[in-house]
Amino acid sequence: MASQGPQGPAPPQQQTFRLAVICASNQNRSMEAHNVLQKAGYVLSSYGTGSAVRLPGPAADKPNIYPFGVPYNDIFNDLLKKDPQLYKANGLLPMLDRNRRIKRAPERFQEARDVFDVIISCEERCFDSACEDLDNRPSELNRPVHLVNIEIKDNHEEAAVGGQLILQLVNMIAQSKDRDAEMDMILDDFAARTNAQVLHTVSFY
Amino acid sequence: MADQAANQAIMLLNAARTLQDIGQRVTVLHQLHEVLKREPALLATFFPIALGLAVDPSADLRVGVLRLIEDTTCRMTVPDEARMLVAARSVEALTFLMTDENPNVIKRIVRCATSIYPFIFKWMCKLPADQATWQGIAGLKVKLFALLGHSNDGVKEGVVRFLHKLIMVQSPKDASVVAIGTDSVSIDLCPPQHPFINIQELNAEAVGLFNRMQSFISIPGVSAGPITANLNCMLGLTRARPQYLQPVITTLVQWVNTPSTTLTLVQRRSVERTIKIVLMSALRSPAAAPYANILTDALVKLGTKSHEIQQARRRELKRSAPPSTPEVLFDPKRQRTSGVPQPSTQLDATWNTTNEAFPQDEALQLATQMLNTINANSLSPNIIAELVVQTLASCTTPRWEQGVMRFKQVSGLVSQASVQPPVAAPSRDPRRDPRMMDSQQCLESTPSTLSENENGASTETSLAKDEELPLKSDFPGDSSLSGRGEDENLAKLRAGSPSQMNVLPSDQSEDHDHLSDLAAFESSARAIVLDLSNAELPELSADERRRLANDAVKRILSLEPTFSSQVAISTVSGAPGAQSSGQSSAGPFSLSAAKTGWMLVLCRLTTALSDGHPVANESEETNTASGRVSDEMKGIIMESLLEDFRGRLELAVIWLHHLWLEDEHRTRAQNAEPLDASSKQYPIWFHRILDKISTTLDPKDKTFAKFLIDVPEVTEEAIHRVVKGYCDDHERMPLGLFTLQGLINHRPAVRAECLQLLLEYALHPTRLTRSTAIVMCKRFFTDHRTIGPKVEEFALEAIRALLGPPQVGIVHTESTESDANGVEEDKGGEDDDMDVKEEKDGVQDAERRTSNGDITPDDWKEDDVVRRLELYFALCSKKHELLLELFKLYKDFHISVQRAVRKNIPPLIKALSAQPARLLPIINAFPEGSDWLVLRMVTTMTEKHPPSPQLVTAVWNVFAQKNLDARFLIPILSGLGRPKILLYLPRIVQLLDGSEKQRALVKDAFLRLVDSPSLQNAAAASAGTGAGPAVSTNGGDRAAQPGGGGAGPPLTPSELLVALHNMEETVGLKRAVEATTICFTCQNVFKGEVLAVVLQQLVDQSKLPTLFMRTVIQSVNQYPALVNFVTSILLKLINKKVWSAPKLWEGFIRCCTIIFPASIQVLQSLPRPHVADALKRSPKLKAALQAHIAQLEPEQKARREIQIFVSLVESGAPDEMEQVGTEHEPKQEVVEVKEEGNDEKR
Repeated sequence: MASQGPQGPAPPQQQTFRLAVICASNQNRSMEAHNVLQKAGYVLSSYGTGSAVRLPGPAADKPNIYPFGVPYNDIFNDLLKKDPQLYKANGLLPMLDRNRRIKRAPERFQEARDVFDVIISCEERCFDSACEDLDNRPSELNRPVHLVNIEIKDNHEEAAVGGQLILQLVNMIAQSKDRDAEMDMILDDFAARTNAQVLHTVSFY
Repeated sequence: MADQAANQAIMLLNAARTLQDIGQRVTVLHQLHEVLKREPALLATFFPIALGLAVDPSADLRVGVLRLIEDTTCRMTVPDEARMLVAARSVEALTFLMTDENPNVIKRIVRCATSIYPFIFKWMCKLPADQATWQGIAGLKVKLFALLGHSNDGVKEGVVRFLHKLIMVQSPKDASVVAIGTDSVSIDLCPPQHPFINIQELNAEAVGLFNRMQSFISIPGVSAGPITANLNCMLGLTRARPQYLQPVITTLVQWVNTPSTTLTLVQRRSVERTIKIVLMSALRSPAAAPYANILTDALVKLGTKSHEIQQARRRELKRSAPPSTPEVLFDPKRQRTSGVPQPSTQLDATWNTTNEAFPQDEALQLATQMLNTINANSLSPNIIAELVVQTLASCTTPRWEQGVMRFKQVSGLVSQASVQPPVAAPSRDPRRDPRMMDSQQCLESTPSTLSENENGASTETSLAKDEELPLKSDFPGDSSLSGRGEDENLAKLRAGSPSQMNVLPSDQSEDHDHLSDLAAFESSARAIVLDLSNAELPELSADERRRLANDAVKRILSLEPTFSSQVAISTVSGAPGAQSSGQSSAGPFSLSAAKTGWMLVLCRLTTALSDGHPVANESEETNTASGRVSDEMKGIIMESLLEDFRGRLELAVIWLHHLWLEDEHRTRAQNAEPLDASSKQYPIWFHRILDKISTTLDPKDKTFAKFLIDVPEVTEEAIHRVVKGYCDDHERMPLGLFTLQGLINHRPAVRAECLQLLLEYALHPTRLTRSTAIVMCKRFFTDHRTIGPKVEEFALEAIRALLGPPQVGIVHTESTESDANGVEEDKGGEDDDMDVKEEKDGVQDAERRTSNGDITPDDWKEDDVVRRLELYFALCSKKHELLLELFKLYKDFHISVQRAVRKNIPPLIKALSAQPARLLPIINAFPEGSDWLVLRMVTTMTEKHPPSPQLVTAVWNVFAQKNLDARFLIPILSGLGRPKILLYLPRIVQLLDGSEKQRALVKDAFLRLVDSPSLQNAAAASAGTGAGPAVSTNGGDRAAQPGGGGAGPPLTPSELLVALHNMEETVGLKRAVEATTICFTCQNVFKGEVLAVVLQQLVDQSKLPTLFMRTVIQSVNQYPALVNFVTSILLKLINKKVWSAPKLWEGFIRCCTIIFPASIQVLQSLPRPHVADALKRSPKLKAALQAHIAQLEPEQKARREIQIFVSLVESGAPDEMEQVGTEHEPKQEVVEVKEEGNDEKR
């Protein structure tokens, strides 16, 4: 199972699996990963598992809350109207600006009906929600899905590091001849190399 | 559209087989897949062929085939029957591929099998016809079990999923669980007497598999992937089949306590996390409430934060009913009662190995305490049963009813009641508990049994009854009818009573509870128990006994609502989160068991078997005496059944089984001599019920069919009198036929008779009955391997019968109808005349018609022919080879039959022509003498669509070989291509004989030629050419066609008309005239522009056709706008010395007359002698000219050209001219033209 160096972008010849990245709000971590992976040539979707999109507000107890489906652009404009200084300083506006170039709006995992082969989550909570959601869905396809968690803290710096970690993992998966059979070994290997906290479970669509 | 898709599919299939590049082939297969997706109708044809690719050396292609299989069987848009066809075929392919070494292929097989299995199972339960497929999938299943040890994790995960699906399908589904999709497929769907699916075996298999899955999570060497897959599947399983919740929790908790050590750290964390997710999820579900503390412990061990657990618990508590308190949740008794009710020995064992289990006899001890002085342990089961019986016996009727009433009132709270700690028990009414019901009923039966039995049998308990069951299932012959269902019920009854004290059919500990309740409640109970040893039953008179027995039966019957209302309540209370999980899962289950028990009790009470003694031992008198008694009771039962037959169907069936068994018993007792019909109980009651329900049930109620399918034996009388009566009654006909269908499907014993009956209905004179029966026959024909051929044979016999003389009987019965038909038929005959006239005996037929005016006795009524044909046609639409048979017989049919066949075949041909390849073989080699039928077929095939190239070739070949009538060419004319068309056009024109019929035929041919595929193109083309005179090139409109070659009609209208003009020598002038006249009747095709082109083209020819001038006149008559153009034509004719051809000259003059004054210019160009001749021949022209000159201005008159006319006009005397005019009356054709022209103008 040869793999490239940690930073070596290895564009897949032909991506043979359907990929998704998920975090809580589909803003920071999953979108950073979406950005990185898309640039590396992967086709993927990204989602949030929370009940709504939550972004930091002027105070810890006053978050900005939006329903999933509100376009990044609208959120951007909303925050710009509220307090351009603050949101520029805390990185929200640049982040939203990046996001709106990638896709239209944050999407909720529980409402998505697409089928994936590999789903990578960025937080144990999201991993739990996603797994439970998958188990609760009516599953008629019997198609296996690998749900993998890489623990990433929800801030811009960690998200950037996490994005690279996810890219590395996805590269390893993409180079595997039989990912179903090798997934556990890949993850052992990956955890050993990167010291990342990894979880894995197999569910079915 | 469908044709196109079929062709595309053929192309793709070939490409998939022949291409070199693997990638391309996979792509092509994918495209084929898409085509089949769009056109599921093609599946039947192409799917089997596509399966052939499964042997391909390329693994990618094999995976592609498997994907096709899976997609087709999973997709919802394909109708079930087509899916079953696909699934059945696929099973073979899957089994074949099992030897594959490529793990990707194996993974796909497992996935396919997982999708197909529930579907096939469901189908087999519904329609147990295809045993081979079932065996195939069973074999495949076993092979897949072995793959759990496969080295590839992906395969393992797939197999885990497969096994869970299998467990789900092969386990009973709790009524309260809402399951969708394949989760709803459960073993309950399978009827107990299924011919080849053994429910017990399957269920046992499921339990075994579940054990395997339990141990699978801790097998060393298995990595996290398959284990987590298993865990996630387990969560799904507990949702769909709550009976597995307890063992799953046990297994998981066990794993948490002693985790596997062979996993790597990462993998272990993954497994732990997944277990945590599953346990949390379980904790949130109300069903797991009893295990909350175990779950909490385990979750804490897994490092779950307490606030998360609390949150989950809160959610669970919120769902529970208000009175539930935490203490109640952990009440040990509830743990007991919520045990898995299913085959529980193994499961219970597992449960017990974990220290969380509770001592089995705890409840028993509690009961013992209540009884204070009596140690229940010291009593034998018999004594305990007796104690209850005696207690009940001392209960007065009002009190009993009161109790039942109270029970009904509180039954909504029943689960709550059962949650109460045992300390509260004494204050409870014993009859509150639903579990009490079945034991009470069983016991209730005992006194009446006693009263019937002279021996007293005071020690007899319901145990003896239970023992009687194996005896029944021992019966030779029909265990599937009698034994299995009861055994299963028995199993249900016994489920949940782990100790050997299976005296009472409900949960053991509960009974002890009731025992204690009873003891506390009825103060007299203890005394009675003490009296038990020397209890003597009072002797009862026969009347008393009978009355007692009847009362007992009535009382038992009156209990029925308790079960049904109970069901309603339990589901309602289960919905908002059901306070007690154990109750909600066990409730409906025990309830249905209780109902089964209730029915069994009733049945045994009312049949001679009820006393549990072999009948043979009884003396004759007792036999008849008890027979009389039970007759009365049977009457009671039957009346009760009929009150609500739908609701009591199950009881009816079980009861009849008992009656039937009783007869069997007696037969046996009499040394296998068959009983004489009168002494048999079963037929009597069976027929009585049948007679009654045919008046009480709704005519559309399918309960009737279900009843006949489920009863132990369907007598001949039932079929020939009752079912046939249904079929003949127009209101009940659909149900009658439906019943026949069901009987054919499910009762092989009467299959032959029912099939014969059904087939006869397929020829029934009433249309609706016939078509309903035909639909069913058709289904058998396609779906059933053994019945299919019989249907086919019958259909063929039916059409062979048409060879013989007509059946007189039918003529009589339908005499009124036949009059109307006679008229209609004559009309039909008219339509057919074109065929009939040239048949060998056509003349004969015509003579017969004219001489008699009516139908002769040898003639078949069309209706009679049709009703024999319809079934056959229906089969042909499924199996087109059959059609050839009709063609073979055709020439020997009577002329009236032939006509009817021709008239009625078009719809079938239309249906079949979707795939014309089916019909081509018939055309290629049609039997001698069926020419006209073939012609009708070909005509029908080309009515809506242009003929396909294959069809054209086929017809052309036979036409050439057999030198057939030109009419065969008409349908394919448009496909022949220009040279052939021009060559054979004269032969078609020669068909004209002046009759309307033939004219219509030829007109049709012309339209097919010029108008067929794209009228639009033609219109656009002629529009493009602009106004007539502008066109001067040959075939200008053809060249102007947008897009050029191929798309347009084979001939342009102008080409056709030109061709017709030029064939006057080959076909004769008369026919040519008729042909061109036909063209002029089609004004929408032969427009002015077209005619202009034709005239232009003809006038440029070296030799002018005789018809030419006629066409010119007709054109200008029809389109006056052409006047200028015609003038130019006439001028050209002058150059050609038109006066040298007499006929043309006549026409020329006439034309000049018609278009005058536009023709002045023409007249001016004519040499003077010819102008004179013209004026001499047409006085009209002369008069017109005179009038014209008269109104001219003097200076105009002075012009030289006019001066010539003036001299000419004045030279001859008018009388003279008129004379000449009459002498030279124009030729006949020209007169015709004039008249027609006038007609048109009008």
